[in-house]
Amino acid sequence: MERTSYQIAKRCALGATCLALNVGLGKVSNLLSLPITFDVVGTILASALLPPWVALLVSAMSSVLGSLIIHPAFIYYIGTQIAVCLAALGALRLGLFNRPWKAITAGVGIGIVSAIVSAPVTAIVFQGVSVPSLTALNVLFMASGNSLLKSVISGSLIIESTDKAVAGIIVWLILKRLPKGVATTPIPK
Amino acid sequence: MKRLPPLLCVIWTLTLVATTVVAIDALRIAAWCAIVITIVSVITRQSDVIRTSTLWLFPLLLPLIVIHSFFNPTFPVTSQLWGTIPFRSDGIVHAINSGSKLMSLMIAAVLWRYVDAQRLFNWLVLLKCPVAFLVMFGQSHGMLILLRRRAENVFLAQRARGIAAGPGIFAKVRALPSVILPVVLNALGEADVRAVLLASRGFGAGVMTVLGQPGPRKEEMALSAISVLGWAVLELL
Repeated sequence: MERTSYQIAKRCALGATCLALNVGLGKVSNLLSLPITFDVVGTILASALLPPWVALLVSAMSSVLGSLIIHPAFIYYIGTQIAVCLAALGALRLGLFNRPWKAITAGVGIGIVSAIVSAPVTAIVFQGVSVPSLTALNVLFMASGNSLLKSVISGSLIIESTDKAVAGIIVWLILKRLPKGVATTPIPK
Repeated sequence: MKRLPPLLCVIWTLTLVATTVVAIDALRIAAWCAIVITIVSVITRQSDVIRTSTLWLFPLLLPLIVIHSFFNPTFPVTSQLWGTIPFRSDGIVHAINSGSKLMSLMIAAVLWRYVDAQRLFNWLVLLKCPVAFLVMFGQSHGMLILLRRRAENVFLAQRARGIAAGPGIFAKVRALPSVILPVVLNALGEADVRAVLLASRGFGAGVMTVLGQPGPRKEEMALSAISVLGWAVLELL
């Protein structure tokens, strides 16, 4: 067996796992009845374990898979997934996933990026309608006289930064317990 | 169930997305959506596409109407319901227009659930789409079912071991690592086994080819042309 074909296969299998994690971890929050989506855990893990271009591919493809399996709306947030991947790559380069508090900070940062990129899609394409928790916040902000875009940005910042902070701490826990040899690229310390 | 040819899926997706941009009113969008859904139901010989589209659209449509008819300050208040709740009639018109566009976008995505996956895969290989990309996508689809089943098993096992998953949000958050970590670490660990299996089957060793040349059939080409023509006529009417 050639080493190169094994390496390609390893990247492919790991990428498929991260892709499945992005779409499938929602099941855990359903089981625990938690209002967390976990839709970027796979993307952040892919940024840590795979070369950047594969991680970007995984992030874009998870929107396609999500739109086929969960809800068609996922495809319109493809830009958010790519932005999250870029932010995660930056956070990993800065070594923000080696301490729990740093991981939370990185998660909040990723959440802010995610909110900024996804808010125009929610406001323009979906006219303010999103997941129930975010829709309720949007209504609250609109009822207090804010415009649609301003309400969506404010709501997204609150929901996304909380959601991604939890994702950040989970990724830190996973990276800490990950057996040696799983990553195809060295994980930045 | 008969599957949809990839060419028709591409054509209908393009027309459905274009409709949301060029259509003047909600009626035209609804008319084109109805035409596409009818043809898809006839080809696939089942009405599942209507049910799926409705199931996916309604959770978006109802909040949309509520938001814009009662809360969006962009629209002026036209009346007061029961003397207290402000109602915006322009908002409801806006919600219906936006809802019809969303319906068009939903149907464009729903179509791909019924595509002939084998033919799509062959087409993508012929179009020089990287095989690693296709394998990754196919593998993830298979893994997803496994992952969900494993999450359920781990959850039940941890509860049997006495890890409380509620009541209360803090108990649930505390239980989260005990469920999520075994699922994720197991899945990542298995990637190595999958990689060995893929490599042993010759993946990544050479250029992938497909047997035969599965080009679009004549009737598919004709239906695609009729679809584009029909859509253009509807928009110009």
